[in-house]
Amino acid sequence: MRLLTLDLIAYGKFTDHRIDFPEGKGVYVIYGSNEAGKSTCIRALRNLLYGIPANTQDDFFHEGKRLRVGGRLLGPDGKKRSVVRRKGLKSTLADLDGQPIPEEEWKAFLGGIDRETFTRVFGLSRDELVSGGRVILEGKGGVGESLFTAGLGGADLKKVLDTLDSEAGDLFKPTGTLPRLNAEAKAFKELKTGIRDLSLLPKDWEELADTVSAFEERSRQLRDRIARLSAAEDRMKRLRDALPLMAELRVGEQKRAELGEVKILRKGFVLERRQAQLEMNQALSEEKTAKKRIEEIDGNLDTLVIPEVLLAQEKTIKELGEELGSALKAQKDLPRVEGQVFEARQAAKAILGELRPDLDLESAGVLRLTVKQVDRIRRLGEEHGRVTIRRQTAADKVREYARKLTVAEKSLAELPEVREPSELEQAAAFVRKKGELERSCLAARFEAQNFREDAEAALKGLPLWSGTLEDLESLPLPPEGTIETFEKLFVTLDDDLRRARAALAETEEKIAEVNGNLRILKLAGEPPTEEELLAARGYRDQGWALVRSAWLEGKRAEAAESAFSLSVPLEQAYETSVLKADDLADRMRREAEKVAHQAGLLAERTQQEEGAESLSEGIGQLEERRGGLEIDWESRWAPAGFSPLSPREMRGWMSDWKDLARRAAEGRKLDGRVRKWAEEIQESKKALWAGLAAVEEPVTARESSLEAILLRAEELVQAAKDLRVKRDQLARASEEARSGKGQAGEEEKKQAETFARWEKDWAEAVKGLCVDLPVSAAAVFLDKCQALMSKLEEAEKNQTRINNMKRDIQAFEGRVKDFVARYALDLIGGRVDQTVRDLSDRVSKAKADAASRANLSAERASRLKDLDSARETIRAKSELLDSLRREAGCREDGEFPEAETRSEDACSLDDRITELKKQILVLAAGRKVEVFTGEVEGEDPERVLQELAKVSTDLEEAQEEFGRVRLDLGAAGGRLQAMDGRADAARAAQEAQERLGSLRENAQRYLRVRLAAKILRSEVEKYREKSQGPVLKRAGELFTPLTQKYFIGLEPDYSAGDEPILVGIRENGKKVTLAGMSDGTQDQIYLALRLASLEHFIAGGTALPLLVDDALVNFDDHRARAALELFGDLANTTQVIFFTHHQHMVELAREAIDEEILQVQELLERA
Amino acid sequence: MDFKFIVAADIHLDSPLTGLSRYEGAPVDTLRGATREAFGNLVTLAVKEKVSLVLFSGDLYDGEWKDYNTGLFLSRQLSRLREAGIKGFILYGNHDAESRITKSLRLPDNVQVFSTKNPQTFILEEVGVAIHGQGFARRDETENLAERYPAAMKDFFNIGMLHTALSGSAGHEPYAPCSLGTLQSKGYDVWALGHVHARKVFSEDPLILYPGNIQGRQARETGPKGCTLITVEDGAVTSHEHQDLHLVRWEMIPVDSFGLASAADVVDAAVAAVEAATGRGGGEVLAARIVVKGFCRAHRELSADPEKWTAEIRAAAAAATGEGAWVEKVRFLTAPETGRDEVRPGSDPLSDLIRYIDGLSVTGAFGSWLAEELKPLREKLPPEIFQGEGLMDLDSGEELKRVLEDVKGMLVQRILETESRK
Repeated sequence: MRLLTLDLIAYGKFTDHRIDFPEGKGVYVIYGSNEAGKSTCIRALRNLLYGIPANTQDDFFHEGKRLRVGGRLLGPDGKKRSVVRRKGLKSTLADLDGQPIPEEEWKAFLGGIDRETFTRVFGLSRDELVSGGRVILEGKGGVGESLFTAGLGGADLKKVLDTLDSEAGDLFKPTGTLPRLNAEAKAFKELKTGIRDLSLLPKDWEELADTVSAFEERSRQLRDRIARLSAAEDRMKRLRDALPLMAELRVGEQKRAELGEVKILRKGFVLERRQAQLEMNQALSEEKTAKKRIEEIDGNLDTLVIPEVLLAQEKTIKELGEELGSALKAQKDLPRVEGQVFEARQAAKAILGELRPDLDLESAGVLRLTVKQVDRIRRLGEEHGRVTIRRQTAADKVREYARKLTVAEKSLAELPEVREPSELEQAAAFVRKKGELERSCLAARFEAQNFREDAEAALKGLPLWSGTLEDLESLPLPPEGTIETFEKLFVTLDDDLRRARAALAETEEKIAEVNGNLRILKLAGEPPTEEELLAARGYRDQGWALVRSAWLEGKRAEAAESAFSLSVPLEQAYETSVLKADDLADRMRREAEKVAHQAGLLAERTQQEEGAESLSEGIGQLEERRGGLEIDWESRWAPAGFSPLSPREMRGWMSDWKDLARRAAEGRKLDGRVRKWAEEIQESKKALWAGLAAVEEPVTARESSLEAILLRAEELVQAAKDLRVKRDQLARASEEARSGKGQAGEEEKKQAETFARWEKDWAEAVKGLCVDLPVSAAAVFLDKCQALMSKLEEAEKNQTRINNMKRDIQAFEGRVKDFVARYALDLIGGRVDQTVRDLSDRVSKAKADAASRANLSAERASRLKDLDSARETIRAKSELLDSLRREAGCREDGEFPEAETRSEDACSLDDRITELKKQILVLAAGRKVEVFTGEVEGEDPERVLQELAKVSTDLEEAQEEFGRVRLDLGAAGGRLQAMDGRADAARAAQEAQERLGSLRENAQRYLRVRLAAKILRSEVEKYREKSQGPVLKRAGELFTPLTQKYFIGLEPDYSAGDEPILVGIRENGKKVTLAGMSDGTQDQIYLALRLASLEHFIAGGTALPLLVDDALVNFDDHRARAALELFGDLANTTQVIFFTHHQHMVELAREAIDEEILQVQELLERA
Repeated sequence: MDFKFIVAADIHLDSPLTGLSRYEGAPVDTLRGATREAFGNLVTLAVKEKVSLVLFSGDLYDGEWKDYNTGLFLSRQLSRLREAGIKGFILYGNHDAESRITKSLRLPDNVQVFSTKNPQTFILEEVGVAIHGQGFARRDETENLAERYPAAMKDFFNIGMLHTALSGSAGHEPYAPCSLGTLQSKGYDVWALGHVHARKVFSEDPLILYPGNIQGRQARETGPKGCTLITVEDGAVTSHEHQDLHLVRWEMIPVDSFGLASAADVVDAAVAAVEAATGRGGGEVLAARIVVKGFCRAHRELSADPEKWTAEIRAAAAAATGEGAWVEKVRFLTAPETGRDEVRPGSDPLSDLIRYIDGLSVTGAFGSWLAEELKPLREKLPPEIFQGEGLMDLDSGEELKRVLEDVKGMLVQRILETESRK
């Protein structure tokens, strides 16, 4: 099959892009830069043949269902067909009419080659060369593997085999435990053992069931025996228990009989009797005690005598007692107070001696001063200092002012006069306010100068015109508008001219072309013209006339004939002329087209020449108009005195000129500023000079700078101001001194008067107290007077107290004497204090006695009550005891105990007998008591005990065995119960089956994997045997040129392990293994094997185009060229489509492949 | 004479379901004890339907099964019948004859077991039924037992019980063979047969039938399984209905892969089929054998690694049915879309390989290699895996062909996969 076109209708980034593969060529090199779409083309071609995969990557631009790739193909049957492939599931291939092409038909068209085979066998890429080389090297250069790999377009056989081997190894190893099958087999075996362990054997169950039955039977027997033994034991126990009871019963009955008739006392009798006797005895004792006490109380009352009179005076006696204390204290204090009086008087006497020795104590009263007097003296004393100091101060002030006045007046007289500075000050301030005039002036001058220099430099650069800046401004130039107008006019004219000239040139070119064509026509044989034909016919006719006249008329015109036919005979010449005329006519007819063309050309030339003429004329006019315009232009500049350049240039010039003119004006402005500054400075100086003159300062330096003058002026102003301030200060000081002096004199007079007034007051205040009391001692004198008075008062007060005390004592003693005389005559004549104490004692005693009497009387009454109560009890109890005696049948109380004891014994015996009978009844256990007692009394106690011991032992044994049997039964029964029909073994069996299922699956997989490896190895070997001869030989032939004859062939050989391997043969016959070759050479071996296999494949039947995807990139140029040559050879067998993005590969292809069969085209990106 | 009774056979209590290899998501728990559950269902049905008798026509347990627990379970279940006043009749089959359990089992008194020495007749006066039968005394009972059965009893409803490979029951051991004619000649009303696991009614009058087993135990035993409920009115059978008892239903699920582009599509189709089959049941677990068949582009992918795609289908089915289905096996019987291969042109190694594989057979070098290869497997692996359904039986040409097809698919795809940088 051959590809004729590949139509990328809508595929990848291509839209309606066709790649042609013309017939007759064999190698198609498709060159495209990266991203040009080479890979897309390869995919498109494969997909055209085999369908577009669902997951195609080529639908990024055209939507998947719109993808279309088409092509025209030449089938093996020699038929061409055009097909279009769309993306889809079914019927995706159609012919141009949209009729689907059946898959089978298409398959046959492709020679039955499927996509994989096409991709692998008919596709060759750089990667494949590299990996193919690697794969055969890894296969250790084994011949079979290498051939197989190359035959399958680089299939990695080793990898397939390794994977199969490792999968098999994971599944099973004859010796091993880890692989899955080994492990699962082990697990299965364990499960089977598990089933056995979990299974319950029928035999086991039966045995156990029998055991359980046996235990149950024994258990039943034992239960019966225990019941019997229990009953026997019970009877024996009752007999044993009844025996002592019976004995006791008989004894009790005997004793009771012995007691005979007994008066049974009621319950509680004994207690009642004892209680009555006890209470009787107590009452008798109480009666006796009460009587005795009453007698004692009566005796005591008789002894008590109470002085009622004294008791009545108790209050008075108490008061006397209290007063006695005071009297005793006064008597004790008296001597001390009298001493105090004496001491005070002594002290007063001493003070008075100091104050007025002339006076005695009695007349010391004159020295008692009123508060007012004391205050006056004290105040005056204080005032004395103040008035003295004030008088002194006033005098001092008067002196001070006088001194100050003198000083001020003297200083003032020494100061010079002040000259008025205000005018100067104003002038200076004015000038100062203007700032630094001189500096500004200087700066402006510099600026002006610089500016001017710059402008003049610029002026020199202005072409066409020269002069001063000042002249520049006033140049009479045409207005700017004019320049623009002219510029437009020039441009328009020039454009017209250019166009006209271009048109003319074109026309002339055309004329030349027409002429050329005409020349060509002429060269190709000028077609005959009408004139020529006419001439030829004329000539013929002329000949005919000659012939005719000779023939019909027999006339021969020698000269005419000779002229006509020259040297040939007439008939010949005429024949020639006829032929020539006919020939011309024929030519004219034949070359009518050429003639018409020629005529057309001539007509066109005429037309073009006319056009050229008209254009030339137009150009002349335009040039003329341009000359006029230029003259006009010049005239516009005449006033300025120079010839202008073109309007465009003049527009630039004008701009320069404007700039300069602007700068000239600016310069003038700057000059003006400099002048103004200078004037200012002069004016300022004048003002300052005037001011200076006013302060009579001689103008020392008229040429001095303004600043110097200004500084001097300011200095003078300041000095004048300072002087004026000083003078003012002094004047103010002298005035103040003068005024102060006057005021101080007046103050001095006032103080002198005040002092005189004080002196008078003082004399009045101390008059009569003390002669010549100095002011300084006044305070002491006053204090002493006060101390004297204080002592005198103290003495007087104590004297009064003494007198009072004495009077009180006398009064107390009198009252005591009166009381005694009235109430206690026996005490008369005693010492007062003792008397009072005795009285007190007597009252106390009388009070105590009275209290005793009251107590005794109360007790007596109480005791009388007790006595009555005791007597009542005695009576009642005696009645009770009488009745008790009657009840017990006692004649007297002493018989009570015996009666009571008998009654008690009888009761006790009766109760016991009843109890015993009751117990025996219980032991009889339902049998008649008489029968039972009969049995008991018939039994030998000894035998009973023996019998009982035996029965008990038997019972115990039986019970023990029963317990054991129950335990065994429980255990066996439990085991039997546990055999509950559980499904554990069944579940394990199910699990084993599942395991078995898995084992089977894995075993089957293992078998397949092993088989696959085995079969593949075997096939590789078979393939080697089959292909080694032809393919290897051919590969050797291909390999030789590929290595530039470095190797001359490939051969099978044997490795150290006796495996068939590939070796390259050097020219000298040396064999080189794959491992000994360079990477590149390995690639080339692979390529050689690959191409040989491909040829072999194609020889077997079908050829499809070989798609080579830049496979030779790693080859050096020589080898690449050699490989390309091989492709050229291969083109005899099948189409080779070689994609590359290396330009030099294209060049190599051109060198290597006959151009007859090579087609190079570039794949241009066309999205 | 109106009553109902149940005919059941081939209980095979506690015998495992075979061929199910375990995988993640498989409904393991349902499988464990499926036969017991099914038997429980049988008893429950009998009680619910108030039947008078339940007939067991042989093979209560697997012959080799030794766990007495199975017998105890059976006994307990039969006691449930007793509590409901239902009589049970057991006829031993070939498996029971072999079984140790049979010999030791103590059955409740509502259950009668037929003699294995002579034909025996049990008469139930209160119902008006006479039941005739003879059990197997040994496993390989080859006598025609039915011949010796007594003629029908007058005025009774006569039932014959027989464990037999009725002549022409293919695939079953030919035990106690007999012909339909023999059975018909006895004049019984019903013949309750056992041994063949598939339900089959041979004749309506007299009613002669295999009720089939109550729980399918392997891929061959497909479809619903259970017992037959027979209603008798006025001494005549008025209806016989099959009643489902199974816990696990086996199905063969065909999946048409025609036109499927990828293995994933096949997985989807298979899972959809499993889901549909699961939905058709009554909530029981489905044990499915999936057979994928058809020309498809997915063939390549599937054949490269069928185990992988089996696992995918299993996982997806588990997810889709929520333990409702157990995929026993997936058979990929697909073919390439274009049906190629048989005539492959060219002399490339792949074509050679295919031709080589197609030409392989057990005879010759390959056969001896195969035997060599299987030897360690036979030594190391449990013998059970070599038994049963055409497992490793490579002498059978068909199995070998299948294996070689798989190998071919695997090799072709793997070789093509190794290098695809073009």
